[in-house]
Amino acid sequence: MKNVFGKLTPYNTVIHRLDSRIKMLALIGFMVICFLPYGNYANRFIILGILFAIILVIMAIAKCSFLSFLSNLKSLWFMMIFLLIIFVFVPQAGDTSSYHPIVTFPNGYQIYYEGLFQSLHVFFRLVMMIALTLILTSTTPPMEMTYALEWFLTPLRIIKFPTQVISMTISLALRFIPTLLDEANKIMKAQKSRGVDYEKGFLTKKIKSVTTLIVPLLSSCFSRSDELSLAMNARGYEPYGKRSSYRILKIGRNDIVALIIVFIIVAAFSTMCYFTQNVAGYDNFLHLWFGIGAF
Amino acid sequence: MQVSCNNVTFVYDKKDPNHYDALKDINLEISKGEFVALVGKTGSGKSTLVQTLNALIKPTSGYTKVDYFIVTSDKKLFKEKMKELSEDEVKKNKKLYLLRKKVGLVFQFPEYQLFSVTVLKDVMFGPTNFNLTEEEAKKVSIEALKSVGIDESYFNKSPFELSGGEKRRVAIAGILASDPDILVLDEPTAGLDPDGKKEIMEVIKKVHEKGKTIILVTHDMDVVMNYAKKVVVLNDSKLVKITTPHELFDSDDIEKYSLEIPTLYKFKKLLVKKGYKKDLSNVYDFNSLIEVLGK
Amino acid sequence: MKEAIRVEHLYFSYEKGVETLKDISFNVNKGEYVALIGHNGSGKSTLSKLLCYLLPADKGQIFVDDIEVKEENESLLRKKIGIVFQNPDNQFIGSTVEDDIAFGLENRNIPREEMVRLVHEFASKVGMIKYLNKSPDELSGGQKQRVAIAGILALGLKIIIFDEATSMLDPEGVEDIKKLIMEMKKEDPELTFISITHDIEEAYISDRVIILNKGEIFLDGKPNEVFQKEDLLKSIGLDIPFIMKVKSSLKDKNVQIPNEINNIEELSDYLCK
Repeated sequence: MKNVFGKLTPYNTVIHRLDSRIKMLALIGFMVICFLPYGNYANRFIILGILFAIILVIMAIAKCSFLSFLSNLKSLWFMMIFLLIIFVFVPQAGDTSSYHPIVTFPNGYQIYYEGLFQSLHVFFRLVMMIALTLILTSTTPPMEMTYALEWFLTPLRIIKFPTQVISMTISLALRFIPTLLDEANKIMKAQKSRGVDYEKGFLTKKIKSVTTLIVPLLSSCFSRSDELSLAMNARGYEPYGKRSSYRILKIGRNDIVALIIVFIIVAAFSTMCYFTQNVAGYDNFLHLWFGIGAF
Repeated sequence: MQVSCNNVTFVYDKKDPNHYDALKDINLEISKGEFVALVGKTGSGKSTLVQTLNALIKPTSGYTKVDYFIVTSDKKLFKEKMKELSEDEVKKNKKLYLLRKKVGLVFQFPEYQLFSVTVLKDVMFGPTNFNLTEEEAKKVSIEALKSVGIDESYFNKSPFELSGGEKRRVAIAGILASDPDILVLDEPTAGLDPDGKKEIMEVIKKVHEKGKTIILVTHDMDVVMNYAKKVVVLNDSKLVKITTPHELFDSDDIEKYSLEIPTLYKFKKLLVKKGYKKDLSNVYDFNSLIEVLGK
Repeated sequence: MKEAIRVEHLYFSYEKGVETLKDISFNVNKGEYVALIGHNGSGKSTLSKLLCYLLPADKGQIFVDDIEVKEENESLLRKKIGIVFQNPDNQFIGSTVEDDIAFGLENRNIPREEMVRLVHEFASKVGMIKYLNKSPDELSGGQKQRVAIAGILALGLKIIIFDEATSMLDPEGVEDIKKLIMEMKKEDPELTFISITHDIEEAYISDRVIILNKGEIFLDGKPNEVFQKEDLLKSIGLDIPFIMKVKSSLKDKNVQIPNEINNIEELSDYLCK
């Protein structure tokens, strides 16, 4: 309940100690190589499999709980069914003459292997994205991510973009999420005592029950922000003023090593992508090396 | 017995490795028409205990019984208890709102639960949820508002326009309008000025005089001294004492449970310690103190 | 003795025609501990906001440490006077204890090394050094208020307003903060406190009591003198401290208690003699 962004784990692993900017860069790098094309489906599954193995190793180093990873995946079942319907059962547009049918129905409607693989492929990518974000959120306090974000936005100051204000806003929002969740919980309990049933009832009744939560929550948000702005003002906060920073981000030896490793991995996968896309034959490893026909 | 807690134990979030028992083996009986104060320092489990009375929290083991309603998450125990009840009572046990109507629970800072466009409509919300018709609800709500001293001229105002003390009285009226047999209040005087406190406590006293059972969770020992007839002390999730306010404040273990002593009793203790000649055993409020001292 | 605050003929209203504060004038000396009491709606909190320039006055003047309270002087004023509000949650700005203590320092653009030193010094002064990296949802209300006080002290402010700072705390938290204030006072006699409170017993142990009623100063003086005026206080529905109540009730019964007896210890000694 307390942490909507995946729970920060109480360990102090190498990954926990890494600079949050490096971690965010790594996240972006890994996500990009997740989404690169690597030739035919067999190829893609092989390469993404290797990538997934790397991610699992990182998860192990970061002491990410595999159970919480699985519980995160639970919510994906619906998505998987949805993908299957779209890619497999909805007739494919465009040229399907080169596709491999699994079954052909008497009326000529066909289900293809390609559809099945495509949905699996998208699903696989999603699983990896979840694993990656889980690693980030379980090893990095939300505040450090805002510091990193502020740092990434720094160049925008040249065009007078108020990066300080943005990052203050984000960090205040993050700071108040647990407080507001707690409050929402209390309000719901109070309304339940007045006979509201948040689970049952028809749509109109549900809308009514939700207003009994939203209205008090909003009104408390307003009064909180009112008081908060007074408190900030009293302590001399000026949004556009020059401020020093208590938190400093320092790059250590480990950070550089990590950055190099990430760079190598990204470079390796990009090279593979280049080969599979541009060098004849490389779009089908299985055929190239073992002579197995795959698509 | 109207209310009984039988070996009530509650564990928050069992899966969490640092989970703790919020309630440990609580046994308590309260009969109809009592005025009970539940005291103990923050985190002693008072608020959790009262939430088992209307099934917002269900004991992990043991059960709370309110008339014929059984509250527990122990399914086997629940079934067993159902066997002791009549068919009609078993049926009623399935309808949670009947229990919530019977036990009116006023949370801390109840003014945060107001949401309707007008004061009257807000108060009517509870009764309509408990299946009263619009007309009936209006009638009982007007009565409830009058009983908490809210004037008719306020009925069509927005609840957000009222002062803090007024809001709180409206919120209490919102519970009273459902005509509960048992009124449970969690820190009803918190954050109010002395006048506001007195007003609220007089309202509660009047409800008690009508024969309702009052269960009050509070830190305010002056309130306990002046209003409660029975005190239940919780400490570290356990029930440690059932006594009268007079005996509690006179005893020496009050400090053991980090409860504050009303100034009157502090003074009385000082006098006893310093060997005051007159008999102070009948001193339980200001007038009786002056009576003895002035002789 | 030098003045910490001087208020001259102060007026303020939120709505036209409804005067929240009327012709308020008073001085507070350096090192004084003033309790400001009165009912909700008497204008206490408004007054505190005017003193810190969180609201501009309509008429009249305020001087804080000889600096006039007005827009041009805002940043100067922030270096003189600080305020602790009622709700501990809504003034906790940083994500952790240390970040929150540092917030005011960051606003003043103080170099990092200096900040780290100040944060540690004042966190230990208010007894929160063990909790430096705790987030607000892991702290009790009393602890959050301690952090707020550390934030003010770290800035070197000598005038502190407590705007019902203990009213949302449990008894333990209240005792905690009261004790801290007493310690601070002892340690630095230059500190000036203005405590807005409903706690009559707290007002009784202050140096001076100012009672506001309907936007005007109703009484102003030493607690002993002010609370002697029982009938006057009753007329505006204010209570008097326990000790005063006992003394006056005993007087009605023809038991005279000498004037110099001012607390329950002394009274019990006297009665047992």
